[in-house]
Amino acid sequence: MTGLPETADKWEVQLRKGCLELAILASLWGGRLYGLELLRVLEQESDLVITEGTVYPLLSRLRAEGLLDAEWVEAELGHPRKYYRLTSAGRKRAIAMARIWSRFSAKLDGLLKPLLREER
Amino acid sequence: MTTADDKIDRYLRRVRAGLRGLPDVDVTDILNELRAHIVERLELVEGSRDTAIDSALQSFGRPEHIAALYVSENLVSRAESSRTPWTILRSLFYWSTLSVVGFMVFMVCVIGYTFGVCFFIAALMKPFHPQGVGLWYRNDPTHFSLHVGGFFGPPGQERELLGWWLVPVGCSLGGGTILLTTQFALWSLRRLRRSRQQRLP
Repeated sequence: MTGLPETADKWEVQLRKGCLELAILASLWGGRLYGLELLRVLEQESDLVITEGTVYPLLSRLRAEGLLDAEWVEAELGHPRKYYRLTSAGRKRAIAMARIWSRFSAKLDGLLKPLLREER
Repeated sequence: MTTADDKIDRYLRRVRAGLRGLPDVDVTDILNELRAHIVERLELVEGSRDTAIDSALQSFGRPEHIAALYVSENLVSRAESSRTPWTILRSLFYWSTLSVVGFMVFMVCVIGYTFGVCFFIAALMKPFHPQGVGLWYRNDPTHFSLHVGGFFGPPGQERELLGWWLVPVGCSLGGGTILLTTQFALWSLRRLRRSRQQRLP
């Protein structure tokens, strides 16, 4: 056992955690979502599977930073839900982060091409 | 009350215990949101709520972890949004009740802010007590001393070093010390937040 798979695993976990903020802002780009909906979008669209309860402290921080607005909405059936939407500051931050990510990943992809060719 | 409701209540009590120190209105809002999520998740599960509740709570995460994450996010965002020494010290004081590292950071920042304020006071008092406020030194073959004076005047044989330069120097040192202390406090709080995030599954 070299320990390499475990290291790679940890690296992937940290990478995913690092992308979480951008993924949340991007998920809210199309409109308001409540927590459970947001988790579903993250899981389906970005392959980010996180412990459900940990998304709420992060939403709380993004709201405290003025990037998100939140409001309780009474549901027609069942219980009220707390919906989150991007503020204008949140939209600006999302665009800025998306640009950085896009530039960075495009350059890294170039660097990784020979590795992936080798694998094939 | 069903077994599921009872388990949700117990779970949320554990979250509430970890949220001590946060404003009551925030705690109520947090608990309402978590309850709404868990209840809705249970509704999506086919079969009995009482049998589904354990897996629902397990996938939600440990209540202590969630509370700790809320607290660290709250400490950092409060300190970052105000950036005033008073708010920062309040956040650090709360952290100091949770860990030794927090206590040490709190003490360093108390000392830093105290020094900063003292430099400012010395600079501001100089015009009002020019003979009583200053930086003096005594240099004779047997004894060397350097000290900042108070309001009772310098000891007779000592010589003042800065004179009126004490005003700009005191203001710069005071501002610089307070700024550095604030940066250190925010850096420490951000590290606390990062370390808690990394510990989470």
